[in-house]
Amino acid sequence: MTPLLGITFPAALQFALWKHFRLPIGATVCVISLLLGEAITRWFAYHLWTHYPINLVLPATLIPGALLLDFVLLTSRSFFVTGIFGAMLFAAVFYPANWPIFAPFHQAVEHNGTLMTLADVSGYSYIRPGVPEYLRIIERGVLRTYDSYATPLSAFCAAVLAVPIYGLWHGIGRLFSTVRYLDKI
Amino acid sequence: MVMKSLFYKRCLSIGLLMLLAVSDSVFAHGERALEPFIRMRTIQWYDIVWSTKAVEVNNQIELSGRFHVAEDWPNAVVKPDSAFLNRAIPTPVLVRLDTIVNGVHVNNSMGLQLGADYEFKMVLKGRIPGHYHIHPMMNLRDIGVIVGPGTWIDVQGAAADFSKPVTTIAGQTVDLESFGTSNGVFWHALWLSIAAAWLLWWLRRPLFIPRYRLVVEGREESLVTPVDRGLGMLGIVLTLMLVGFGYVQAERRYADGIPLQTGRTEVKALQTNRDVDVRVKRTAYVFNERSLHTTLEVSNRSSLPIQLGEMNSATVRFFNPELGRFDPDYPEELAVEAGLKVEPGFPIAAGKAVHSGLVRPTRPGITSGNRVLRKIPIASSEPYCFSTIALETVLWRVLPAP
Repeated sequence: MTPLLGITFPAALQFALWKHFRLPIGATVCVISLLLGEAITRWFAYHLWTHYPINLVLPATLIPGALLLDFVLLTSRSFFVTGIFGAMLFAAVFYPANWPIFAPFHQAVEHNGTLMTLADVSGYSYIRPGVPEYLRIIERGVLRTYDSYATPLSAFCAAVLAVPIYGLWHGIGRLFSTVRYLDKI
Repeated sequence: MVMKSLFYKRCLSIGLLMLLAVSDSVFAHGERALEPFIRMRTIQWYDIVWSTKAVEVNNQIELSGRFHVAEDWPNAVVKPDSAFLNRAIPTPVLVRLDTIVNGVHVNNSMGLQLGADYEFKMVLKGRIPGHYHIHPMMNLRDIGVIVGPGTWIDVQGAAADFSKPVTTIAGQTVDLESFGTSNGVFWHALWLSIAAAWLLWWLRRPLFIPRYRLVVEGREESLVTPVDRGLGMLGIVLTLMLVGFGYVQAERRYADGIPLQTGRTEVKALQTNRDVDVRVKRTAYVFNERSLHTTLEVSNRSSLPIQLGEMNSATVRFFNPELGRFDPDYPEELAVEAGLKVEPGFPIAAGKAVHSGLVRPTRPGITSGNRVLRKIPIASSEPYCFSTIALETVLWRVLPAP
C-alpha cells in the first residue's frame, strides 16, 4: 500500500518538472520532502514529546524507488515508458530497499511463553493507548507480515498496480500544472 | 470606529488572560466522553489495586483488579469478540512487561464472554519520571475504549537510566530502547546522500526560467546532455545493485528472522462463587431528591448473614455508610461515601429476604462527614453481585454482616 500511495505526488510533479523544464528530479524532490517531514514529526512529536524510542517509529524509505523513477524518465525521455517500467520499479524495490532497516526487528524472542519478534515485543512494551493490538490485522493475511512467501507476491502486485496509479496521477499533474504565469515573464 | 475596535480587542485579550489565570489544569482521559449506555452496560471494573503509588525508573509496579462483562450488552454495540486489555497512559512513561488474565499470559487480543468475570494483573516498569494519571482500559474493537478508575502514579529517578533488555532465541541480548536505531539511521542517511547528490547535479545549473525558455524554443538538447543520460543509466544499475546488496546482506545476517506474530489468546471466564443473588423488583428515579429508589430481592444462600455494602456502576461507587467500609484509596471523584441507604438496615440472614434499597447518588466528589472511615483491604472473598437497573448494569458489593 505504501508504494501505491507514495507514487501519486511524484508522478504529478515529475510531469510538471519534466514537461516544462526538462528536470528529471520530480519524484526525488517529492520523496525527500516527505521523508524530511516524517523525520521532523517522528523526532519531535513521537520521540521528544511523547517519549517513544526512535527505533519504534523509524520511517520507511521511498528514495530508491524515486531515484529509479527519475532515472528511467531521464534515460527513456518517455512518460509512457516511465509509467510502465519506472512505476513498476518504484513499487517493486520498496520491500528489498527497506529490508536492511527492518530485518533486525524480525529476530525471534520468547516473551512470556509466546513466540514473538523484537518488533512485536517493542509494540507490546511501549504502550500506545490508541493503538490496540487488534488493529494489527496481520492474521488476516493482508501481507503486513513483511516476510515469508507473501512478500514477493505483494511486491509484484504493488508493481502492477503502481502502473495505473502512475498514469492517473500523471494526468492530475497534467491537469493542474500551468505555465501561464511564466509566459508573462 | 478604530478606537472602539481596539477597545474590544483589548477587553478580549484581558478576558482571555484572566481566564488562563483562574483556570486549573486538565488531567483527564475523557472518562465520561463515551456514551453513558456504553460505560454502564459493557465493562464494569472493580477491585482495582496498584501495588504502589511511586516507582523508580527500571523498577516494577503492578496493577491488578477485576472486570465484569455485562450480561445485557447493548444490542447497538458490537459484541466484544476482540478486546485488548490496555492502559490509558500519557505515552509510554511505564513500559508493559506482562499481562495476566485469569492466569493466562495475554500478549494479544482476546474474546470476552458476556456475563463473565475476569481477574487481571499487569506488570509495568518505570521509564519516564513524572506524575501521571493512569487508568486500566479496555480497547473494544469497533466500539472504543472503556476506562477504569484512574490513579496518580509517580515515576522517580532519571530517564537516562532506563533500559529494556530482551534476549532473542539466538541468545543475543539487546536493549529495545536503542536497538536498530544506528542501522536505520545509516541506511536513511546513505539514500538521502545519494538523492541529495542527484538533486545537486541538476540544481547547480540555471533552473526554471532559462530552462523553460529553451524548452519553448525547442533547444532542449542543451538541457539534457548525453552525459546526463549516461548518468541516468548508471544510476539505474547502481541503485538496483545497492538495493540488492542491502537485501542480501540483511537476509544473510538475519537468516533466522520470522514474520510478525499475532493471534488471539483464549481466556476462560473466572469461576466465581455466587452465593448471593440480587434481583430488581421495582425501580423509580425520584427527581426532586435526585435519588434512585429500588426494591430488590436478595437471595442469600450462604451460611452467613450479609448486608449490601456498596453499589457500583460505570466505576462510580455508592457506599453504605452504616457498614463503614468506605475505600479511601479510590478516586475521590468516583466515590460517594454516604451514597447508599438500605432499608431495612438489618442483616439478611441465610435464606431469602426482600429489601427496599434507596440509592442516593449525591454528586461524586462531594461527600459528607469524615471521609476516611477506615482503610480496608479489598478481598476477593467479598464478591460483587450483578443486576440491571433501568438498563444499567449494577454491581452490588455484598459484605458479611458486622
